[in-house]
Amino acid sequence: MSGSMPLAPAFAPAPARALDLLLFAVGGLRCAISAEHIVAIGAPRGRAVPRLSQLLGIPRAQLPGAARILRFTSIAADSASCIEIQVEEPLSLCQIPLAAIHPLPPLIGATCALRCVRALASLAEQDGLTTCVLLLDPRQPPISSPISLRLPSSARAISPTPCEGRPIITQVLARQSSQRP
Amino acid sequence: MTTEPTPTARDRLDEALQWRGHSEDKIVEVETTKVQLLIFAIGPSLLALPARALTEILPSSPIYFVPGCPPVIEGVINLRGDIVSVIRLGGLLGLEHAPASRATAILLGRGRDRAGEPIQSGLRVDRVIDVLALPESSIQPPPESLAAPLQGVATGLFIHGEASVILLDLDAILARFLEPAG
Repeated sequence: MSGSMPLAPAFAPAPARALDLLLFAVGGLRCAISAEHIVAIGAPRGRAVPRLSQLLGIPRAQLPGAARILRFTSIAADSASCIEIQVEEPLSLCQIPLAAIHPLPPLIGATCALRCVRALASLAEQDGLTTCVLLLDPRQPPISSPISLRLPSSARAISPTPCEGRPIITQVLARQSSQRP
Repeated sequence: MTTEPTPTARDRLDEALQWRGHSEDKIVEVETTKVQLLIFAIGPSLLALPARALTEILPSSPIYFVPGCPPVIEGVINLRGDIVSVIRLGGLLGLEHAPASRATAILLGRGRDRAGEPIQSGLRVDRVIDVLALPESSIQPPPESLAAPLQGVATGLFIHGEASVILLDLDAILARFLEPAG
């Protein structure tokens, strides 16, 4: 009796179950960018860096946190560039389970004029309550006149290109929407 | 001298009483189609939506602002781990909301867009008044004198207590809201 041994299923890497996000405040809102896009975090030191709250049209918080500069990569179709924006403290790095990341609700997705607002996440706070976090898309920064800087070659080498250049947030949302009824 | 009632007269009365008795036993069924409605207030106006268009009535809960959205979108709420948009219904209907209070509620509406895709959204109202089943026959067509924002989304008018209530069509409201977006 001739038969072939059943082949073991090809090894497929387990999909990530959580997403590393850098959280920060913007005019009283909690926002986040996928941590893999962050290149540097610094202090303003008198530099004129656009405030994200202004770019998003968010009123300034009554007690804004200290300003911080985020430098992150923004992957365009053919190249990566580096963008700087001013956000507010507190900054934190956290891991959010994929199940807590949601596409924009239909009415918001259809009417939101800011393409950088990509998704929402429900985040459990330390006090047991949950809050909503805006997930921003680094590919579409809300900057009309680009202040992007070309990355030095060393930095470009570490520019994130997961899964053929698609930011991981896109993969997560695609997976989320395919799982929803 | 007593006069015996004639058997004929007694029989007729008995028959009449018997007929009455039996007729009272019968349940007269009148075919009336009822529609279940939820009545709510926005400012001084009373409005209603069919209960089938609503899945929940939520107490006022923290609403998170989303930048870049039209002013009638108040933001999103966290509904048991799900994220749901909240629209200011008065803003879509040209009605002014009362200041937020403990009576403020969010109706979780379930409608469809023009393509037939389901859309779920919270609808902020000032207070919930009543839930009732109303015969369809008591709903009148909407008057032509309705304010422009209500025309096309109002499907009827009925009396509740001493007040007029405007019945709304959630699908029409959502379709109108999404129109400018293409």
